[in-house]
Amino acid sequence: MKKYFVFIFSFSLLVLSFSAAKAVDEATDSSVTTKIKERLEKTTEQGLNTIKEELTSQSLSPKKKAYVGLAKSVTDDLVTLEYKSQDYPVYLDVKTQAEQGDYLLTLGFFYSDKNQFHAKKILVLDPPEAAVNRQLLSGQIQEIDGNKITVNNKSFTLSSKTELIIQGVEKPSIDDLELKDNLYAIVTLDKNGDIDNINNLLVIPGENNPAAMTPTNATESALPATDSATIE
Amino acid sequence: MKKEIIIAIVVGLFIGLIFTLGISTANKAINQQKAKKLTPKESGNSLTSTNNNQQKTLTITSHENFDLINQSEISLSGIAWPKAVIALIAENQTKLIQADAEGIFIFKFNLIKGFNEITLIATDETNATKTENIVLTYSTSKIEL
Repeated sequence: MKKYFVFIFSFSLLVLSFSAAKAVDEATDSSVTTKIKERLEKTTEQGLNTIKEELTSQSLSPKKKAYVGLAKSVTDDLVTLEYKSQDYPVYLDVKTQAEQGDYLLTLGFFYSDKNQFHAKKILVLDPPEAAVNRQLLSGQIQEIDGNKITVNNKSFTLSSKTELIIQGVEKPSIDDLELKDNLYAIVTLDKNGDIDNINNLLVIPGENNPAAMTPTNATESALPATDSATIE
Repeated sequence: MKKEIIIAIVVGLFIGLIFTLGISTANKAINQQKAKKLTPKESGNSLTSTNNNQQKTLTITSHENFDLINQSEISLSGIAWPKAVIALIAENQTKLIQADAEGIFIFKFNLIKGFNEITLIATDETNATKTENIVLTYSTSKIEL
């Protein structure tokens, strides 16, 4: 009977010690992992702090800027420029002959710590001419009739100067266009607001266009993925 | 004697197994608790990213408004939304491209001398449109602090 208990006891001890060894191994593994994690976090934190310091010093260093606009007021040390209904104070580090009403281009440095722009060079320009009215037109192609395309009930004719890009088509031409293709065009409008010229045309093939089946590289699509062509 | 040895082995195995199972159960419980602690953070991130996907924004990252540049050729880049079509309307040229799957776009073009009023328009087939204007000046004249 004694032997019987001795056997049970010794065998239990053996299995127990094996289990304990396994548990200790796991505990050691997890403590090593924790230490590695802590070290990594510390290193990352130090790296982030260094980057933060660099960025802070970069953002505080003076930046080269050029403010443009109509001189609303001019004093010995400050010019207020108006550009698109917004006022921009320009502190003068140079003397200027500029007067109120002049259209100015001021070159200098922006100090972000003071939130001030200091001009080192001032140029008086001719007032800019009214900008050409250019717009982005988009929609699905409703009709194709030769070089004439209808989108959103607006028709326009492609000219020889139109730059055409069709996604997935290497050498695009108007023949590659299909109804329901998604069309994006930069157009120049005339004085009456009508389409005068089509500058650029980007077409993303729709369900009717076989080019829609062509796989495109997502990264490269950020750049013109296909050759562009001008309409002959 | 043989009988006793077999009984001893079986009972010993049984007791040992009970302890092993106990340790393993305890380990599982600890791991589950750790996982539970991590879950709220992860679900928070996924919520944020879903919200971000719903927002359509256009941001120019390479340049700031009224930057003074001493090179004519520039790469104007930024982020819109995945596969958005981006139009560039500059002083002397216009360009159309499609952003990549992450919404990143890059335009390479030349500035004219003096100030350049540039308009970027992002759109897509849903007619969602965002516009950003930026003024960049190209000048080779030297200015010093």
